[in-house]
Amino acid sequence: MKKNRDIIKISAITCLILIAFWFNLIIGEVQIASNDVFFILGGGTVDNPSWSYIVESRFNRSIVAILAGGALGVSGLVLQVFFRNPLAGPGVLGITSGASFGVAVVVLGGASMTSIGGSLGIILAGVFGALFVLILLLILARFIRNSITLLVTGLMFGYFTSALINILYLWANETDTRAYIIWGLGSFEGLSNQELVILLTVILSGLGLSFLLIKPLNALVTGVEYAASIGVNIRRTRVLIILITGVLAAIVTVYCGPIGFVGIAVPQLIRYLIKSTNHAVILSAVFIGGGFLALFSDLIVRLTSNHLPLNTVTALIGAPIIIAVIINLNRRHAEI
Amino acid sequence: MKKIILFFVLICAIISCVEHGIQEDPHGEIVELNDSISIQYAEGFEVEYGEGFIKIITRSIPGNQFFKDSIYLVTNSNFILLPTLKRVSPSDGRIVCQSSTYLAYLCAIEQLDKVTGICGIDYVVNDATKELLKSNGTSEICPSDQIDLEALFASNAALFFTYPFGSSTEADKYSSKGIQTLLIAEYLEKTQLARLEWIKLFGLLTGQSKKANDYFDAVELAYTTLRDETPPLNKSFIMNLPFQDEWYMPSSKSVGVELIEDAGLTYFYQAEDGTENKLHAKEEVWNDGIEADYWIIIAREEPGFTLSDLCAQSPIYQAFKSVKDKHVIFCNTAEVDYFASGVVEPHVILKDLLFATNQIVGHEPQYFFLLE
Repeated sequence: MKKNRDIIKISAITCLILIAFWFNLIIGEVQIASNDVFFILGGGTVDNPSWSYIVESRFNRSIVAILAGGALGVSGLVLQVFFRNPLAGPGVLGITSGASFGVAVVVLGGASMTSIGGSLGIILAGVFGALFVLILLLILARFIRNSITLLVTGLMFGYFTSALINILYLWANETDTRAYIIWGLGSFEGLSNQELVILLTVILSGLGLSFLLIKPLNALVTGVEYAASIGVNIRRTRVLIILITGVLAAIVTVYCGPIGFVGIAVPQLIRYLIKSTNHAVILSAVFIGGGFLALFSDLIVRLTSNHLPLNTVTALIGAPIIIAVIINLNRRHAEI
Repeated sequence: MKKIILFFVLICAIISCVEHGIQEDPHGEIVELNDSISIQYAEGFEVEYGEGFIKIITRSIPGNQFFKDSIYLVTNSNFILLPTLKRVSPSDGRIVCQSSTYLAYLCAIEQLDKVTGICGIDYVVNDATKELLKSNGTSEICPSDQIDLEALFASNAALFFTYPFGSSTEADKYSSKGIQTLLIAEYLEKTQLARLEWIKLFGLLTGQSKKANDYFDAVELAYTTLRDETPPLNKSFIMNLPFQDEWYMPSSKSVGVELIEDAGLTYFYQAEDGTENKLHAKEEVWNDGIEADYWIIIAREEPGFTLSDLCAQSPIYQAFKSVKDKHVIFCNTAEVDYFASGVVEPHVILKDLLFATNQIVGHEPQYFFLLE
């Protein structure tokens, strides 16, 4: 019975994604009729050649939103289980900041975000920055038992990297500084088809790998010692977690900017909605839920004629959820 | 009754102090200014001539946030002003500029050597100007975007040209150290010639009125002659490049758009009022770019930027009429000093645009050229 309800809820979220996706295709500054959108998506051409580009741009943007939101949600879920902390997430733990610092080094150093060399350098730098922070956190986690202290340490990483980025501004020219600041506001817009393929490949690979974590995650909910006692290879799990969460958070940060709140809020929302304790179900639901939240946020951005930055919208939606989690934490130990 | 008389006497004393703010000093020297100025186009400044002084007033233009400032250019130091009034002498010489645009005016009247400090010396695009400033020992007074008071005071300036907003409006802070400020808002002017006319203010304050007048008259003649001889082309144009999802487009009354319209082109967004940049959604401009005949871009790009580089930024550009017809006119602000020197050379910009639209021949473009 419980399982059926979960399936219905996941199906409902999937339907919401499809509705939001369709709205994202037809809503915009340029009014394009639904049948024209269908016609263009089917490979047809219309009288106004710009419409094909506009529909393609809206389509790519929506796909990016689903992938990015899903990836951040999965990354947050895995981190929350591993650190046994409902407030863990790529943003809070400083992983996003690490990726941002990597991007800042390349962008403020003069590489264009649109050049091939610059784009590859940014991806590598972002991934390296995210992994560096995550490895550092895992090392510190051996000495810091209190999960709140670990979160504060993650926040300190964030401040530290922000300070380093401020130093980088001193050498950057106006154009690079502007590009970095705009990137920091977050957006699902502007990815070329090639970049979309890279994003899709990396995220689907990460998602595929994360399914290898289902059994360990199910066991880790009850604690590392118990997981080890039932045969979970903790060392291998730790390496997989570093790799998956680091790469997922980094690739999203590189292409869409440091998007806050999705990574923490979505796993909490899904745990509230879905009663299953099986991470095969939870992981799938979090990916879909993250995709929906990101797509919905982007729809709001588009409805405001892009005047509201994406990060503002995700904060408006995500922050109340996180506050609710904190209040809940205060009342009782939140269950992971 | 005694109190009333005392009060009346007191009021009279105060009024007499105000009215006689300018007093005579029998030991003062007289500076001869070799020319006076008259203002034809500019709305943001005015000049009042008095016995031994010239009062220069700068002010906001209606439709913008209000401000008003004034300074007395004392030509006969027999006159002593109240300490509360700002004064400067043409012979004081030492100037600090908050904007590199002011440098263009000073450069045009060959007074760059008077600049002892500037905000953003590294952002001066004109290499010759930058070299000259550095060789003159001009100091950077805004090392971190904010005015560094120590650097400003160390520049030993007598006059500080500032923007009419931010901390630079705190004139008292500077005047207590002997630096007079004057708010400059040449960017609020509505026409290119009005912006250029501010050269007369800089000429007046540096004792080079004649040079400034001559420069203005020559450029005005060149500009108006070109403009009046140019027939309308009936070709539309859009402007600039997007930033992520947003496309800032100047409004139809902006100085930049009017200059391009003087070259015979018609702005695609004529219906939009105001002088400030207007935000358009990228999709909207994509839709309009299909129809617009010309695309005029003022942006900072790598040297040697080509039409292919532009199309690589977004595939839709290949569908733009201007790109298909190779009618993309580009000004690379990384290479040319459009925002500063361009202000004092509108006739050159107009010529560039006429050349790029095939209306004149035999011209060497300086600011704008057709992207190949």
